[in-house]
Amino acid sequence: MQHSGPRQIRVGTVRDELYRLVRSYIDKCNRCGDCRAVCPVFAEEPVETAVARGKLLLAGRLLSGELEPSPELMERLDKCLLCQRCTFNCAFHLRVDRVVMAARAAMAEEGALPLAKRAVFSLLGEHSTTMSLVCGAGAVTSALWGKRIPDESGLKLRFPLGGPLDGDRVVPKPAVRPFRSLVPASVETAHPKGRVAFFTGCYINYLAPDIGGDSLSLLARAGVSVVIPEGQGCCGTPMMASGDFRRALEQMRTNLRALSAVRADAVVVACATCGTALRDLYPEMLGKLEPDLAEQARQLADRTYDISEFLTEVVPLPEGPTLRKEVRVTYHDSCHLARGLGIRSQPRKLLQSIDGLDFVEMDGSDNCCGGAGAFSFTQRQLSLRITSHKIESIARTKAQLVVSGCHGCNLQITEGLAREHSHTRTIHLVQLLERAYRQGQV
Amino acid sequence: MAQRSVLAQELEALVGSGRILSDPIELQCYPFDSGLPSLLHPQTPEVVVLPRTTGEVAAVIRFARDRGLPVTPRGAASGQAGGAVASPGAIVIDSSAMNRVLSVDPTNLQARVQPGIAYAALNRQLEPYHLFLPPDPSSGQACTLGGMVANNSSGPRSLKYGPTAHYVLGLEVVLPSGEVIITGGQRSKAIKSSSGLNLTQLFVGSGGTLGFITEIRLRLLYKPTAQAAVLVAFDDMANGWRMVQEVLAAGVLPTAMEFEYPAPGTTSAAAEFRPAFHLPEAQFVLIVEMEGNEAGVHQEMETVVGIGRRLAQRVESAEDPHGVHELWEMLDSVEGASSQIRPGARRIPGGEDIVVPLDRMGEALMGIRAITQRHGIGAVCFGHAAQGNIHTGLLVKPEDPREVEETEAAMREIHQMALEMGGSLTGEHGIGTSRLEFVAAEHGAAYRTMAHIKRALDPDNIMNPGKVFTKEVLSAES
Repeated sequence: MQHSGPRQIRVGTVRDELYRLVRSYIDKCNRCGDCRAVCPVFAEEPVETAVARGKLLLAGRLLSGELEPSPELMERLDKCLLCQRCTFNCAFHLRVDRVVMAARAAMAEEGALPLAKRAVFSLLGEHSTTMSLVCGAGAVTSALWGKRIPDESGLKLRFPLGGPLDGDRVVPKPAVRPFRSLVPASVETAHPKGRVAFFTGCYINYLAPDIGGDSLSLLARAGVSVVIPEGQGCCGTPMMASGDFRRALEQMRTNLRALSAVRADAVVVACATCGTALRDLYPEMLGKLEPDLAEQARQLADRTYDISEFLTEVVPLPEGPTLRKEVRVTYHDSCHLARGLGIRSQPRKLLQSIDGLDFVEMDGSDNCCGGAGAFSFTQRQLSLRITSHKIESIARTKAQLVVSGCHGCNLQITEGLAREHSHTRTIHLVQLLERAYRQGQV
Repeated sequence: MAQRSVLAQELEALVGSGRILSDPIELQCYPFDSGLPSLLHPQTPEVVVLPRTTGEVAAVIRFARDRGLPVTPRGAASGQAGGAVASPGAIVIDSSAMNRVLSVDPTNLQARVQPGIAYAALNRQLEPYHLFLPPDPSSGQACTLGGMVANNSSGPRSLKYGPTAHYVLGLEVVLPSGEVIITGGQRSKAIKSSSGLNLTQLFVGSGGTLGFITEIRLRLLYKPTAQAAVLVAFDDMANGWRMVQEVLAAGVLPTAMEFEYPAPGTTSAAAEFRPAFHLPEAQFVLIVEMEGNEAGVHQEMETVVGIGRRLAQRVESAEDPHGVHELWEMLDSVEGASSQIRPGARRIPGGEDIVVPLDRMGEALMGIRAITQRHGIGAVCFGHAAQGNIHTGLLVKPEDPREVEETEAAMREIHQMALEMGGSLTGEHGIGTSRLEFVAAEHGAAYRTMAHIKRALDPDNIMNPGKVFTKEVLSAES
């Protein structure tokens, strides 16, 4: 498949251009080793290639042409969750995630992007109509290919096939119809306090439309009208994280167009990853690679809010969410929400506004769950080992529910809980809030 | 996949699969620590071994001894002197997989740990017991206990608590022969001893040249219950040093007394980011921290504030943890701003750990500034004021060969200046390779005695050759 690549990058100079984008991060590393203290991968595999200072060195050599792409190098670069724990523990705040993504992009340019990823990204990108059909077919036939794991875990299924998706892999039942095809173009409220655009992202659109529906209900409770812009698609993070930066840039342009075409005071997301993309990735990538779109991307970033942030700081929810029966709840800080967007207190404030909720902090609440999108497939065993620490932290709280603002984290944590035969369940923050407003049970 | 070397295959037979790194992609991440020498002269190991047990370490060292291969012990390689960088042709034994706390004995105020555990990780595990290990190296998040022992590390709070050496009660060491010994009493839980030669302290600060430490018995302290800090800005550096003396003379033993010698204009630049502090442009900035019980700490803080108000232009104090943290952050901001004075330059430690007599600190700081100006590079100086320990970050463009030459010359002059002033080459980072050429000048005949000991324990010089001991001093003994 041919893609319309970024106009400023000519074939043959891509690696140089990527190097230019991230070189300052590489050069500033003084190899102090503080990254060793926080890297979840290094905790499992205590070798220098696992940790940021090693990855910066390898990426720098790859991007400068000293090191040629190879499967061995790809294997090392693949072992990064992009969780930013190293960045936030670094005296220079070096964006190791950006460097790793650039290195993966350089590898992908040399043909190192696996066929399976190319196929998935194509479905999330230019073939999103086909993606809708694939999900629908998957949902209808799910009884044939999946079986329910502990009933209380809800819709999560166990995939029985071998190969890249091993038989123990927990996958969610897809939506019969994508979220965006189920909802009107706008949801109006009488005497609105404002009008927001809702960016759905792929999880909500294809896997968890309930989260989208609950998000719209909460925004209505807050008294804002919502428009769901047409033409929006995947935020581009999955492509960017795997090195398919051309397709990621295309998605950025598409979404920028879609979100700029509607009249809205703010853009609200209920997916931590999408939020980080719109607010952090778009202005940086488009700012550096597409100067014509830089200002538009910056303006989009400035008016993008995670839903927990919007409903506490911009248009607060009314009082009164109540659970019929007291529930013990703990909160997982997703990497993209906590470090990507700096959102920690807002979800907790919303949780603590719920009557009948017994909130307890887990230790290491912002430790990565081990999911990290494709990482959970390509580094399966390593991913599960990292998840096991999160599950131990959850178990110590004796919580009945684990809440997060990231459906991807919830899927990974659900799998970890299922493996431990835990009765603890995961739920997205907006789902719990909306149920509490309905004074329902969870 | 690269072919496994014969050496790697033989070592794998000793420690098991997955514990040997020999792939070039892996090895190219190991030639460095965080100092300048390894940046300029990286040394790739032949192979890296990640043992889990003392037995595996002993097997690898016996293997190396039988073949005459050098061995370099490595912790986090967070050091700056080259001590953990591979000797030419070396097998690197990396302690990263030996990172467990083996036991905590709160009643007897001690713990047994493996060498690869990081200082901060150990203290986190001691929190439930309200105990801690005090030496507080600035690299504490990363640096390992094995590395701390090998370098006798310390840090800001060593003013009150002392260096690592004060807390090492005993060691398990694999000698260069492969024999395993336990120092400090083989079944001892004693917290003091005058029994026999103090072999424990022989290995403390030995830079990995006498053996591989596989277990450490540590003395612990109960955590203090209160803390306070005072940040003081001076328009005259001399008053800063006067304050250091007056605080000590007042009978206050602070936990830490740290200084910044900021580049002109940088204190006010840093203050712009923290306007709440109203920090004026200053020639010298000092932080004094006290720990203990609430009443004692408050009284000491009042004493320090009083001295500061007499001598300084600005005094800020805090007794709550957040406030104390903010004051330390302010000091860090001054250091950060000072590091930005040369656009395009990297901050690289060099001549970075000298100690001078307390009465010559000001002279030494001005000397460093003059040396670096003469060589056309920048410098940021900070350190442990009441310990006479000056850390220097050189602001260098390492891609410029001429500048690298000037930098190496400046490092030499800084070290020479420290010795001429009656100081020491290193307060807490160790000799490694970066200070090797000056050790004989510092120690004279005592250096030859050190070499006697080295030869007695390691006649074939397999343990970390090229570190601490020069070829000349070792051959002079034969």
